[in-house]
Amino acid sequence: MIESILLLLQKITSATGRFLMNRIRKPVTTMAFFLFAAFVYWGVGKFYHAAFEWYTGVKNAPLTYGAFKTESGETIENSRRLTDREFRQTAIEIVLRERKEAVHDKISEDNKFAKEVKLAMHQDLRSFTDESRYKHIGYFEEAGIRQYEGPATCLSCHKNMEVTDGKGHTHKVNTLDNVVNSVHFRFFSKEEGFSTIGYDGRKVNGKGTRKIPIGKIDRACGVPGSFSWTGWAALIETKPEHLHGKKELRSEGCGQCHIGGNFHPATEMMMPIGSVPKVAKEGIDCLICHSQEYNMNYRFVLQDKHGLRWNQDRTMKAAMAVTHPTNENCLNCHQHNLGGDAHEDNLAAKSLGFMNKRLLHIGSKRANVFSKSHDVHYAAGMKCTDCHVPEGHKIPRGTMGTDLVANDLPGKEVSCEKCHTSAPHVKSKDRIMLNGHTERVACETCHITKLDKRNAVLRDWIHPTWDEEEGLWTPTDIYRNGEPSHGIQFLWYNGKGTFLANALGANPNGSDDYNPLTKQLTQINDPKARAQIREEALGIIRKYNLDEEKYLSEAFDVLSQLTPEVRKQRAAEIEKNIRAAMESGKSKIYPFKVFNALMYEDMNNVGPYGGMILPFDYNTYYQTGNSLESARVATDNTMMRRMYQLPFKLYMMDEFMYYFGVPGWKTEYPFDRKGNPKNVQPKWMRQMGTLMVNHGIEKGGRGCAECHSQNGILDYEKLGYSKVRIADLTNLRELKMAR
Amino acid sequence: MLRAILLLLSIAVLQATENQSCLKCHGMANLSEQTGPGRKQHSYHVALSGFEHSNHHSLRCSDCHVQGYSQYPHAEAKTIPDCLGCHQDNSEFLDGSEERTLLLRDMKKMKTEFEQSVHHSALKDSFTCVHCHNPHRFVDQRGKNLSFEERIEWSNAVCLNCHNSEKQINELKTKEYVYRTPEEIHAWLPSAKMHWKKVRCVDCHADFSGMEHNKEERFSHKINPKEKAVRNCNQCHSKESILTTRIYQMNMRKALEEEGLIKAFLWNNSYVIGATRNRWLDIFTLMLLVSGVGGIAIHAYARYYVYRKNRKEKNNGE
Repeated sequence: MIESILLLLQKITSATGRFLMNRIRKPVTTMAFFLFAAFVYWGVGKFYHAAFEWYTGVKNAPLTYGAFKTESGETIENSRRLTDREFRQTAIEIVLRERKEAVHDKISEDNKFAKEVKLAMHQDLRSFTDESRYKHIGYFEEAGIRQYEGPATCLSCHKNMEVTDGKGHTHKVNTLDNVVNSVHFRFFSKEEGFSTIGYDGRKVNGKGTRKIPIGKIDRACGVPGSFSWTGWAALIETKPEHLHGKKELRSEGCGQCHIGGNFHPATEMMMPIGSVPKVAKEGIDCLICHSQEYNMNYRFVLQDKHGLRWNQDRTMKAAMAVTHPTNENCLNCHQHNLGGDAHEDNLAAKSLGFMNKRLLHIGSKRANVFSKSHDVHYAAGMKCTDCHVPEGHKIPRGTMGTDLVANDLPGKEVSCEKCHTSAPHVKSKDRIMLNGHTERVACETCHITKLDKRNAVLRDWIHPTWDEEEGLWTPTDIYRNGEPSHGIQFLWYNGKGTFLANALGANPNGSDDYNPLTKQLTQINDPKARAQIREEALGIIRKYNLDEEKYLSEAFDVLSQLTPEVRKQRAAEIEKNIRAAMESGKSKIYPFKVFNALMYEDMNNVGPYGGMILPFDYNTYYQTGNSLESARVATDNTMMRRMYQLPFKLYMMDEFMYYFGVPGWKTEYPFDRKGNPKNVQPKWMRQMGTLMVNHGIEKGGRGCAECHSQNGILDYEKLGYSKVRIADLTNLRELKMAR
Repeated sequence: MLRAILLLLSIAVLQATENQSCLKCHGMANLSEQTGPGRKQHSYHVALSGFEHSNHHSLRCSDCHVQGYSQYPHAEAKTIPDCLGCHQDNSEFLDGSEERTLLLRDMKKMKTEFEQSVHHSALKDSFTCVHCHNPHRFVDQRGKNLSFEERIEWSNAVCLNCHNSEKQINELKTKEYVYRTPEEIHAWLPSAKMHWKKVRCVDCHADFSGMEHNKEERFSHKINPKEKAVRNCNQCHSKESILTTRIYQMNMRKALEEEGLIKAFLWNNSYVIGATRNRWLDIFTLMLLVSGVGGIAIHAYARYYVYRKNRKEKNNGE
């Protein structure tokens, strides 16, 4: 429809143009006409932006990165012009540090003092001094660049860049456009390429569908608040124990990992027309990915006269240490969803901010650590970009994926097989047999034996707990576990996922018994797991005076939240809409991090799988622990209000709901004028979500008996094997012989 | 009678269970390893779907893989399957059919031929029967009622299975060798694709000397080195076409048997430019052409003549 309106507009303008051109003859009139047209164009642009900001409630304003004063009164400098002398001193400082680090690993010396002496000797040797990666020091020196002013400084040389595509062809592209249109900036994709199948059976943004923008920007994921408008940047007043009643401000929000340092995400880009304004592009943080001296202490929420936004390191020092991205660069943000904020190996967590320190989330999203001590590839000195081979600023995340994360290069493979081939085992005496397994079993199944213990499996957002140490209310994780069959579930997987992140696949034997959407992902039956959940939940059950029986039975069996009729409808729909997607492609057994969350749902917009969850306002939540009030405040955000109106319903929300398996979007706002909820209820998603885990690869994998025994980690019955085959698989004659 | 049936049944069951237990591992598609040098991937996979339809489908695995295979991992000192154990001097192999009798009779000859072939001289013991005739898949199509093109396709598939695959060739190569596709190698040959549909690879690449009266659709296993391959167009496209002693000989005979002399003569597939020329047909066609052109010329002249005559009369009348 939008396309046709645009087409009509185009026709009208061209007709008017022709009409006018036929009448204008004199040069003066022509000039006047063009001046007038330019004025109109400028005016329309201005008007559109003003109207846009009024409509969406977002705001754009010039961004400044000057010096600031910390609470202790210290002044920290940021973007500032250095004198030549300062420039040279900084250069020497960072090059020496680089050299020391480079030499460090090459000297094997246990004696501390001896090592120091050897380091000092080495670092001035020619062999090492010639190898600095910081070529930009020389460029800046020559060009007289003494201040880093954001993208403008980078673009003064890198206006265009060469991008080599997957076929090996090189194109020249505009660097800024390349960055702005990457997922790292815009947080969504409106194109084909999602490996997600809606519960209605349609491929998300697939052929024949009306394409809608989907990604972190608007995705209702398991962590409410990550509706990026309501949770962009917040300053939380906390009362930590060690300050004895005094308050401390902390930074929070999903903007902390966004490379644009604005007051809101790239809202303009997800609309049918228009792009982000120039001021927004000036906020791009090139250095967080490209500088080896980027100080994460600069990443905190700052308040200026326009509002809250995330600060960034714009020092000249950081700019001088520019290189291709290294693992440390990627992990500045991505360790958050790999190992987790609070993991010891999360380096960024050691620099929480010069002021308004960033909050760390303890329960981990994947608990799948990518670090030297946890991943064999990292330890081997490999870079993220060795597997995720970028094309310009577009970085592939592989062809598989259960989640709804936008993918810049959906066709580009990122896989173990690409390097290791389908016969990866070369040393073990069982190598041939192990290679045979790769047809049915994914590498990760054996080479990731467990996740970090902070792996959050069940999170209750409705009933927060007071965190004394940090002095704030946090959601209650009633189940954290990184062990197989607990925090990890093994499922058949063909690379596709549902709209609520459930891995799709089928046992190649064709069995219909395999149905995780009604079995593995809806029930927790293990007595040990149940006991742990009960124990963890008792705190909030007592505090909030909950019905223990009901609370636990719903957590153990999430389908019990549905009426028998809806359950039946759900089971039938799965067969009708999902089964074909499960059976397509080639399935292997993969490990998945599983999770579920108790959240407020707008019951008007909910189907048999889940649906519209309400976001939380960080301040209200963390400071008062009143989850319902927090949801009300967040839903009052202008963008959320607009979602509950007709234009957004037509533009994208209806389509969103179809994918959720719901007939359409109802625009009835979930709170009345007084702020009382209307049809808002706390619910668990009707099945656990599953996230792929692919990092934290261990060298030696699992032994045979870990799966091939009576009490192995694989539940062959739920995986859809026949009784005879199970008896065979759990009691292998060959295994006894080998011993 | 009942006993015989029971015996047969139990043999079949035994075969099924034994093979199943082997296929538990060998049915894994990726049962393989990388071997050096050059990280060649060697597969130990046996596809049940292929085996079930192969000539060997009724055998038990242990019929060929005799000793050292019953434990995991298999014994170091296991017997290597020997094709000639069955296919030569083994009366058990005979079942009264003509095919098997002939096969057994010719095996010695084939062995000698093979030992003179380029495959053997270049690759020595690393190239055996199984490289062309995968015992887990091989289906002898000769007795089957296939069309002429299908028979050629089947025959050529045996060669192209390796020669179309860089991977396969690289696995076998013993010296530095840059792989070229059959298309690249045959770039000199006009309509190469058409040739491959109409003649077997072996028709040009094998040594047929001494096989002029070859009645059993057999070709020599003596595959020539490429220098000796037929490269002269005239050798096929002429009256003395060598094809008449090769694939087309069988084709013509088959057609004769099935369709009788006239039909076979008119409709057979053995038309080869230059080779299957019929002098009478040529003369007849020429006559047809001359009389056709002549007829038109006479007709045109007649029309012109009448037109002139009419005009004269008209002029005279005025």
